[in-house]
Amino acid sequence: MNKKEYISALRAQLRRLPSDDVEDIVKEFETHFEIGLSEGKNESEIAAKLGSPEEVAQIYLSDTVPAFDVASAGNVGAVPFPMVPVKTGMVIDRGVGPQTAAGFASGGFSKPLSSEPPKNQAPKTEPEDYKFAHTGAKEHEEYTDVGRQGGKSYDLPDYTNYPTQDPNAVHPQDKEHHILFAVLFTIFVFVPVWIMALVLLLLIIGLPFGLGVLSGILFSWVPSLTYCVGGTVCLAISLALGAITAAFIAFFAIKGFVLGTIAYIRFLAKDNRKGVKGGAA
Amino acid sequence: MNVQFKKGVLDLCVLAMLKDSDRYGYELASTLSETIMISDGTVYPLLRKLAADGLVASYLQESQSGPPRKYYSLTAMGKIRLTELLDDWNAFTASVNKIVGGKSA
Repeated sequence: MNKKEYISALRAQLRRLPSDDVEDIVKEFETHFEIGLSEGKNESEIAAKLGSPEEVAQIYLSDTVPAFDVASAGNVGAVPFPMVPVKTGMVIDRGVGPQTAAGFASGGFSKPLSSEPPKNQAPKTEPEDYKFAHTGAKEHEEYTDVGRQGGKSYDLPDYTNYPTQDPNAVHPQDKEHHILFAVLFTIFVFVPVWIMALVLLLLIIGLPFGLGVLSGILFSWVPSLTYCVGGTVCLAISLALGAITAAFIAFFAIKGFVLGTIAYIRFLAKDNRKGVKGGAA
Repeated sequence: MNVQFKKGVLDLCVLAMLKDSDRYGYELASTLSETIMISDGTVYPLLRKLAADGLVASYLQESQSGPPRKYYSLTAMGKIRLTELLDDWNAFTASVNKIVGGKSA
């Protein structure tokens, strides 16, 4: 692997970090290559000594704790373990005495000095259980030994090896799944809901009219004038009340229907544009 | 050397190397990879983490040969942390040596 390949692989792996951070990191590795070259080493030699870009990137990613919000919670299942928000050594720092081998091996004997969070990290708001459940034990295991086992100490899941350098690129498989989901969701959930809403609307509007017409027919059979007048008044009142009720219900139903449809269209548009990042599912 | 051992001492080694003089990333990486057999690439994330924790600071400096280098220096907080880690290290190795029967420190 030469310098260019190494840097672009690293950049691709780091794409989830803020772009300023990525540039900073990449710059450091470029400098590393340049100094190595000026010392007479060749590019593949330097790259081999650095350890694989995947493993290096993974250390950066596991050191960065992303904000834990609902959207990312929904995506946890789809994201490979490097994005699991774990700070290296976190689990072993907890509870176990500072003088144990585990504490010693975890990268620190005691808590950090500053009580305020480091400025480059997002606030750690994930629930306690989540931290325990996702200790990232495996990547922690390999923390310092990357590249020393033939560069293949373990394989990252296949989908982390995105074929493109574009930091916002979506893996084709992710996109396919999202489109499939959207289509199925539309057919099985939204189309029936729309049909039911329309039927209900017609029913609500049609019912008073139907009743009015029916009562008109019934009352017209009664010969007495008193009944005729009474019937007309009753008919008028029932029609008026029915119309007012129908108007109210129809107004809110149509409003909700329109808002819901707009929201759904926006959801689909966002989903297809950003793939796994935009979808709430 | 055992992987677990290396993980634990890496912070200590980096901080200790910066105690007497400022050093640039390449220097730290190549020294550490020679002595405790880690790959060069692991030192940079560690430096970044130490910087984020406020234990080291960095600055750019031109060099006679090659590109400008990013130098790292210990902050006041880094010095305190180094003392702590050293105390822990000495206490730890002393107790382990007692058990395994080596020379106690």
